[in-house]
Amino acid sequence: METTNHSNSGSANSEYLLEVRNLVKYFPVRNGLLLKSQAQVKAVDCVSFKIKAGETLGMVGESGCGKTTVGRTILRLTSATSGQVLYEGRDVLKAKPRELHDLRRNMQIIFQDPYSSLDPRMQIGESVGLPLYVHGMKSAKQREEIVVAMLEKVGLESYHLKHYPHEFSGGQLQRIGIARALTLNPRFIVCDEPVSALDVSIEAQILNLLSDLQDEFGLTYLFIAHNLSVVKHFSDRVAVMYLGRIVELADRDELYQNHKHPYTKALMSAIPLPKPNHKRERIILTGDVPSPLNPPSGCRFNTRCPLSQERCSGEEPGYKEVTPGHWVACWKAD
Amino acid sequence: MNDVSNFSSNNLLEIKNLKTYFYTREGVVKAVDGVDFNVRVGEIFGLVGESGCGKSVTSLSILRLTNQSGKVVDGTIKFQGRNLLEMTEAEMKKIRGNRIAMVFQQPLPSLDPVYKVGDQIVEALLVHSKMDKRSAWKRAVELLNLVGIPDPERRAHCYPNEFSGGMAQRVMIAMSLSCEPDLLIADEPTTALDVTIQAQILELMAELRSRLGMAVILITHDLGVVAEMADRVAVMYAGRIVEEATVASLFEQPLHPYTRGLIESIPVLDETKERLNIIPGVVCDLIDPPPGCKFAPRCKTRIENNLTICDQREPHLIQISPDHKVRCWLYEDSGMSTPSVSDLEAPI
Repeated sequence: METTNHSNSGSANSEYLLEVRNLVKYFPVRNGLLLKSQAQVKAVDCVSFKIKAGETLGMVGESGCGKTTVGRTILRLTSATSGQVLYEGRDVLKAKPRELHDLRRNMQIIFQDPYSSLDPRMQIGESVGLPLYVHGMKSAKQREEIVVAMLEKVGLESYHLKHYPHEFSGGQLQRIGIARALTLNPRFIVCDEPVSALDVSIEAQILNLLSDLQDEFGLTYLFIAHNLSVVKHFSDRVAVMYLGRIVELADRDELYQNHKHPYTKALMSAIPLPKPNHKRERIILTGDVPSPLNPPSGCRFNTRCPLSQERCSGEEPGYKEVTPGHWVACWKAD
Repeated sequence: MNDVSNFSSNNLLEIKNLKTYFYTREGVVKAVDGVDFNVRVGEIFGLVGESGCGKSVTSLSILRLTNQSGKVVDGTIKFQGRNLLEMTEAEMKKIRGNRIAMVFQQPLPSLDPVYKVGDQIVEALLVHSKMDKRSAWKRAVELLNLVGIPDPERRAHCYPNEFSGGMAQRVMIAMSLSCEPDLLIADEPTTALDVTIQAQILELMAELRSRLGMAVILITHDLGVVAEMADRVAVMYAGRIVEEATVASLFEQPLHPYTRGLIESIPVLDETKERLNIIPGVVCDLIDPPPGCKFAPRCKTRIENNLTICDQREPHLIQISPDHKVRCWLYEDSGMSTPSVSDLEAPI
């Protein structure tokens, strides 16, 4: 299929740490007495991309576009319907339990909601040290040393070890979540909306922390967020998702200055800027995002697209490389 | 307090020295502690701040909707010249939803799931006007049409679960507009919505404001939303207003170190920053706040300027120019008028 071209056209394989090929995730909607699958929510529908070692790929889109599902499927926290996820050439989705265990040492996740992602009955030291235990470090003393070092890295103190989650603020809890993700010294981290539950002044602290840690440990991030300004600040390349599809993918500056897809354009123009004298032309989309149960035929954006033509509702557009590394799925893009 | 702006009949709402405290087992939480501001007829007044700064409690105090543990302990809230805090509950009922309406952050939980949305709007109309049921239903359909709900006759018969978040927020706005209020309080009306839907709702609110001429208090944590929508803004921190200005003045020349910190700490779409400037630390404890300026423990400007008074005494809200007030010791000498002696001596 044409849509997969850009995933296969990369040059040296070793340059990429993670490669996602035609990832599909349908959630069955079960109903009735026998819980037969009545329909499918097409959460992720044929998504392909690659992430280079040490870079940050931003993934942005509105709620329900499938960005979180992409992150979770990559780590096999939910099973994929089909597709391939290659981490250093090894297929995560086909890995046997033993191999998956090893792979996960290198692939971690930071969750959106810091309050619900920590066990309220476990002390912070236990929570942060648990990944070490699971991966074979049985000595409690050794674990504690690493945990303390990690907590200090993220800006907490060693006495926090014995505290419980309810004693912390949201920003501190997110720091703990980050420490837990880092204890195994992973190379790849999925950051699933790591700052959207936090206040603005705390958000900046966490973003700076994440970028310091990236420099220090050479981390590779998949940075999932709905806030375009945050994604721009944080990413090297950015993918825009709409209804389970990537509609545009490009280098950060290219995407923000020279976006081609009408959905990206609308998304950019919809963000209120903290500049009262700066008047821009607004593209206000009409209507809501259609249901992923029954996405529109052809281009999925055609029901809300200001440029929509007859062709758009009949045929799904493939990816076009408008400039090197800038991929767009739109019939009207040139 | 040292509010030097003249009393003017142009003010729809005048809040003076409002204090709302919550009495909890841990102690008294001073959620709102001496807030003054005015809202003029027909303007959009933005109230900005982070969670816990007291912006929502201020709005709930206006409608006297704070829960049992929360009490307005001091201050006056004059709406069209009458103090809302001295009204009887029966009088208050005639104000709520009628003269002052409110739109909440979460549209779906704010609607009753077992009634048709049309019936919910009809109820608001029947409570506050002498309409009969049939004309109230007609009016409800008109309102749904006004807020841009397609096919309003049919949609009025739908239940809230059949609406998306953006559409439910439109229903909430339709309901709040049902009695043509003079003041609409919108508490984070777009925070739960996606950006493209947020743009729709903000545009709708701006259009309705200019068409119906009501004043709006827009409560938000998003500086971008304020910059696009509001005429004047107040920035709140730890239960107080730390800066108040016209939108243009606030963003061109933010004076308070907290406001400056906020503006610098957010990533902005059309700028590239290597690193975000952060405000260190966290918001102070509202049960046992620091004695001086509430922002002093996090304030870099205080250290740069070697100010010692910040930890000891709280600054006043000083009028810097006709459309700009700030609460910070840095500007204590540059005010337009000196506060009276009694103000300076008042223990805060």
